[in-house]
Amino acid sequence: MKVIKKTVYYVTTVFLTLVFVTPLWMVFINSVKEKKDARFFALGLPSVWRWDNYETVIKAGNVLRAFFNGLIVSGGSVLIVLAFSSIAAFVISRSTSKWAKGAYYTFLCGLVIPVAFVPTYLILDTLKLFNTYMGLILVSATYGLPMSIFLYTGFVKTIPRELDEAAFLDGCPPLKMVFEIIFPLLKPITITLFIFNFVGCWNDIQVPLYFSNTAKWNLPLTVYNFYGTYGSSWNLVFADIVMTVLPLLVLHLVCQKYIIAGMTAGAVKG
Amino acid sequence: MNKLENKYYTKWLVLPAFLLFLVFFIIPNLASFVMGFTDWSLFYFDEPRWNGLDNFKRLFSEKNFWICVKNTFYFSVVTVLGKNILGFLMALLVQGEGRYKHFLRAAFFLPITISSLVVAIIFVSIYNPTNGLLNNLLSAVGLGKLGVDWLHTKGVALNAVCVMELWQQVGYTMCICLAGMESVPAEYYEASKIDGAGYWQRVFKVTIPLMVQSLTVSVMLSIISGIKVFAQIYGTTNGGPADSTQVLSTFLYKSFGNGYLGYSSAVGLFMTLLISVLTFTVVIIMRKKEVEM
Repeated sequence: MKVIKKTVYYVTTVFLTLVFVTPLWMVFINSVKEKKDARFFALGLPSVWRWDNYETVIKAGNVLRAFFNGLIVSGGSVLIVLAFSSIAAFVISRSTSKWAKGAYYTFLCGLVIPVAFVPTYLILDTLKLFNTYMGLILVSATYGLPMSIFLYTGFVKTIPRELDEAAFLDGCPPLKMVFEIIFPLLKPITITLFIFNFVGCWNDIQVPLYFSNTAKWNLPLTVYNFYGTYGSSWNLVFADIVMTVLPLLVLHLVCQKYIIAGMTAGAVKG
Repeated sequence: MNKLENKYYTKWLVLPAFLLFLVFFIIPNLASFVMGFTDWSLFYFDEPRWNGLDNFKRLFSEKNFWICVKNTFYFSVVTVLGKNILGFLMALLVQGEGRYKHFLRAAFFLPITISSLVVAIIFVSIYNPTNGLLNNLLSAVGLGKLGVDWLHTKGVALNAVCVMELWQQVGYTMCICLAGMESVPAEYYEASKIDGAGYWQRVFKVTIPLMVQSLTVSVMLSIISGIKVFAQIYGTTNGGPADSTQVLSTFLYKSFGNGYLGYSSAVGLFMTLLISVLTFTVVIIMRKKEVEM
């Protein structure tokens, strides 16, 4: 009986692993094949290893520009989100006043209510921020605020209030107090939120699609564009996909602990 | 207390975040309430006029709109059920310690890293009717007859997109379920074992009731992402064949692209109401089922 159970367990899990890994293998192995071989989407090794596919894509697909677009927008918005939401969450979590509670629930609404793209477009247009890095950064940062404030607020509660009182007796000014005393203690959740917001922004397509032109697009959108143009050259499309996915795949495997902690922190604390 | 309140817990520290949220979230959402009742468009940009409920009348009389509503619901129901049931079962499989289980978690979790739009392109190749991985697999096991053009056959295409979404996102619900399971104190399992409960009895009588909170969160998140579905459709079928897989977000993007600002705001407004009503209902229903530990 036990043997049967064990067999069933291993067969199921190996099958599931194959379901999740095979498509990724297919993408990788076909990205180094000839064009005529790649269109069969076979899983076998290539007859000729064409690493130069990557070179071709970097030249034709605007990979570098899209990479830097993603880096600037994701990096910029993450810094704003972390700075703004940590200080806001500190006050929201500590203050007993009504407006703090009101602010908390206002931000929480952002977790449920969808974004109003069309008016946001008009606001960006009015502020002359349409199709600018600044516009994309500010909008992406805004969309990251609710989750970040939610998780930071929960985390600040675990930091003893006595610290605030001690800092007060020492005459420490507010910003110095938050950034030099509280912020270092928030490190675990900060790492989680950094990854969470960075990856979210890196992968998001609606913000660049609604609020910028092709020159400011990030990698996922340029991959889609590239696929539209070179749809018959699957080897190149796959090479483009590998370059888009690889940085995040590595990041995820290295920081998995933090990512899972962050994704589930809200779920358990509720 | 008050001295701290005055010096450290000041409104000034909330202000930067609030300003950003006000300008790029609150004002746009309020504005869509106003714009949804105007005929504002890019063609008559300087003279928007009130047109009362005309946008909604036009919306509700459009046949395509109801196809979008139906598809959005279908996609949401299928993916919410699929993600949560499969995610829960997978969490049972990988629960506990050990290298193999950690490896499995990492493997199931991999696809979440990828942008939905990129996943869509990968699945265009997998669903390719002549050489795609899926049809090749079917012929390899002698079921070649079942193979179809997955993304271009009416009635099949939307299901194919649902499966793709499950492939990508089920690892996420698995993680949430896992966290919920790990928050159940071990004594409860010990006690039920002593009482002679079998494995599945323990799952249904101990695990599930004690992790309803996590399930609430994961159901809520999957409802929200189900109704907001965009990249998955945009990247695979783009609404086709013959608008049969159009969803609300792609409908909105299309009318925005056509320059109808007022009209597309009305679509957005409808989505906002739909998501708010559904999420709050589900949360209220599931909160009642939560058990205090």
